[in-house]
Amino acid sequence: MKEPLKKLLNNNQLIWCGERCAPIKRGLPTGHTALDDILPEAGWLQGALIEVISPQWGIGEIELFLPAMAAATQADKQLVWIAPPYIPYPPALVGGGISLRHLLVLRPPRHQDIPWAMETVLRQRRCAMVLAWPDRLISKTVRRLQLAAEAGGGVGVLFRSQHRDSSFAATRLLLKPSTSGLQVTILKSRATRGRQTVALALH
Amino acid sequence: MSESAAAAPLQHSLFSPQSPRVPRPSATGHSSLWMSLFFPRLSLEVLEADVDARPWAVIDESHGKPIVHAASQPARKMGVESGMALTAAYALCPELEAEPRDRSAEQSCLTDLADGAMQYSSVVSLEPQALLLEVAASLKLFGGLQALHRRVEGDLEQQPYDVEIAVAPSPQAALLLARCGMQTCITEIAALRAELGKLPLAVLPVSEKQATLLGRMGLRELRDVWRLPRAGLIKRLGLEFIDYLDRLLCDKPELRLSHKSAANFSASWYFPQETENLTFILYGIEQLLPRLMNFMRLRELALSRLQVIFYHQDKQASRLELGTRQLCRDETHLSTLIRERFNQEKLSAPVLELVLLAEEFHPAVIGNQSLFAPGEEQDTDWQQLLDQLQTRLGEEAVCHLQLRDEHRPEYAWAYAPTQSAEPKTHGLLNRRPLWLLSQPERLGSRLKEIQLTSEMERIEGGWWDGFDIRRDYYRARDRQGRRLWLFRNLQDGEWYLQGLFG
Repeated sequence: MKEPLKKLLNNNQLIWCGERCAPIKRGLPTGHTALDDILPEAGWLQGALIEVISPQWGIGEIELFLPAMAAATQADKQLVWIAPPYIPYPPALVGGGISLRHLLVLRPPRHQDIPWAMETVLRQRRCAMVLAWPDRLISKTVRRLQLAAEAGGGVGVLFRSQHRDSSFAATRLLLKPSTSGLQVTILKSRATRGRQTVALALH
Repeated sequence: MSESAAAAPLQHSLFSPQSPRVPRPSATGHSSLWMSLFFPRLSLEVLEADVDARPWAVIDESHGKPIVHAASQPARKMGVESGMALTAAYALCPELEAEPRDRSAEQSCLTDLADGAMQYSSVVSLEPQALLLEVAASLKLFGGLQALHRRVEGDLEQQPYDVEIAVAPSPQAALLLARCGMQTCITEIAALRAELGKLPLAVLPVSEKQATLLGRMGLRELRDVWRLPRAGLIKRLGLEFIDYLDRLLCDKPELRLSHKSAANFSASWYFPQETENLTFILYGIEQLLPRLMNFMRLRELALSRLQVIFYHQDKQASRLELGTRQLCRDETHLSTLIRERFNQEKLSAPVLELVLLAEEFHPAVIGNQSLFAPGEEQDTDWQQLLDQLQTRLGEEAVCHLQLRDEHRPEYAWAYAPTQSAEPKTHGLLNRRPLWLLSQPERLGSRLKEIQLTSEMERIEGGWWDGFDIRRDYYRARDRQGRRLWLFRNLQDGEWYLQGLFG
C-alpha cells in the first residue's frame, strides 16, 4: 500500500478497515473481565450507541452496566435514565456503588419525547451514560442518537425488545438469561470478529 | 433701556458677585453637581423610528388651540417651529402631517431611561423631556467627570434618542443649559454666573405674562436681570421668579425626589395585526428579552420564574409560565426555554399583544470564574440542560432518586425534584432488586412456574403509621429466566411480585 494511503487509514477513526482497524481508544471498562476480553475496545465504546436486545427485562440487563455506571458516578459524571420500565430502586443502586446525586431519571409523559430527551442529554459532555427504554424507534432516529453520542462522548444504551437485522448503533448486544446469570452475544461491534458469546455470572 | 442697564454701575443688587457665597455642602460633605440629560426630540422619537423621513410634527394643545410641539427636520427646513400654531405651520408646509402628542409613551420612555441612568447615580430625577442626575457622589467611582460624561454619552448613543448633556452645580442650571443645547460642563459655582449670563431671557421657563414683562423692561440676557435690584424684581415678577433665579445660581438649595425603579418587570409588544405565526411571536419575545436582561443587570438580580401573557381579540388572555431550577439571567438560555415551550404548546388563539412579566427576583450570585477547574462552568451547562428538559417534559418528569432510612421496601425510596444530599450508607445486609414495581403484583396461578432460589427474609412492622406489613421475601426465577423478588403476605397468605433483579 502507498505510504499516504496507509497514513490516512491509520489516522482516520472513521475509516473502518476490518481487523486491521485504526488505533482504538480504550473504552469504558465494563467491570466484567470476560466481556472486556471480547469487546474490541476492552470496554464500552465511548461516544457511541449500544443497542441491547432482550425479549424481557429483569434478567440482569442493569447489572451488566452497573460497574461502569458506578465508576462513572465516582468520577463525578452524570447518568441519565430515560423512561425506565420500572422504578429504579435506590437501595440496590446505592448497594451497587452508584451515587444517587449523579443519577437523573426522566419520565417523559409522551413517548415521542424520549428520543429528543436522549439526544439532548447525549450531547452533554458531562453525561457519561444515558440509558433509555424507547417505545419504538425508526432507524433514522437511531442514527441521530448515534451522532449525538459521538458529539457528547458519552455512552448511550438503548434497550429494545424487538430484534431487527440492522441498526446504526455501533454495538449491538443480544441478552439471554442463563442458569448462572446472563448470556451476552455481541451481534455487532466495530472491528467485529464474528458473533461472540460470553456467559456472565451474576449473583 | 437694556443699554442703560448694562452701562449702569452695579447697584446694591443682592445678586452682586461681590458677596460670593460659600458652596452649599451636601450631605456627603461635597457640593453637589448635576448632570442633565435633555431629549429635545423625544415626543417625535417615541412615535416613529425614522423621524426625519417626511415632514411631520407632533401637535400639542395650548389654550384650546393646536400648536406644534416638535417638528421633524424636513418640516423645520420649511420653517415650521415649535410653539407655532398648526394653521401657521400648514401655511408654511402644506404637506405637513400632524400627529397628536403621546404623553404616556414619552413618560414611560423617560422612566425606562431613568432606570438605565440609575447605574450612574443614586439620585435620578425626572423632568419633562429630561433627566437630572446628581453626579458629585459618583465621580470617584467612574474616575472623574470626564470619564463619566464619556460613559453616559457612549451608553446613550445606543439609544435611538437625541440627547443634550450639560453639567452644572445646580439642577436648574444644568437643565437650562441642556435645554438651550449648550453641552457645557460647569463645576464651579463661581463660574455659573458668567456662563448663564450669556443666555437669552427667552429660554427661561417663565409664564407668557412674565416674558412680555421682561421684554418690556428691555432685558435681553440673563445677566441683565441680576443687575437689577432684588426688591423691585420681586415686586414686578413675583417671588417665584426670584426663587427660581436663586436656585439657578445655587443660592438656595433644591431638594429633588429621586426616581424609584419599579420592582417588577413588565414589557409589552404589540403586533400590527393578530398573528399565530410563531416566528413573529418569538421575534416579539426576543425584542423584549434584552430589556429584561438589562433590568436585572442594573439591579443585580436574577429570576427563577417568568411569564409570557398573550392578549387575544375577544378572548381571555392566555399565559405561559416558565420556571428555571436555578436563578437565571442568561438571555440565550431563557430564549431557548421559551422556544422549547412553543415546540409543544399551541397558542389558543391569534395574538394581538404579548407581555413579558417577571415579578419574583432574587439577588444574583455572580460566581468568580475559576482559574483552573472548569467544573463550575460545566455545572451551569448541566443546570441549563435540566431547565430545558423540565420545560419540554414538565416539572414532574425530571427527577432524582432519594434513599430513605426505612425498612419497608416501598417506603425506602422517593422521587425528589432536586438532588438530595448523599444519604448515609444504607445498612442493608440482603440484596435488593434494581427494579421495583410501582405496586406489588399478585402472582396467583403463575406461582407454579416460579422456582425459589434463596432463603426467606422476613420484613415486618409499621404499626406506628398504620401501614403494618408482615412479609416473607424470597428471590426466585421464572420460566423466562427473569430473576424475581417476591413475597408471601403473611396477613392474607397470598404471593406477590415486588421487584426484578434487572
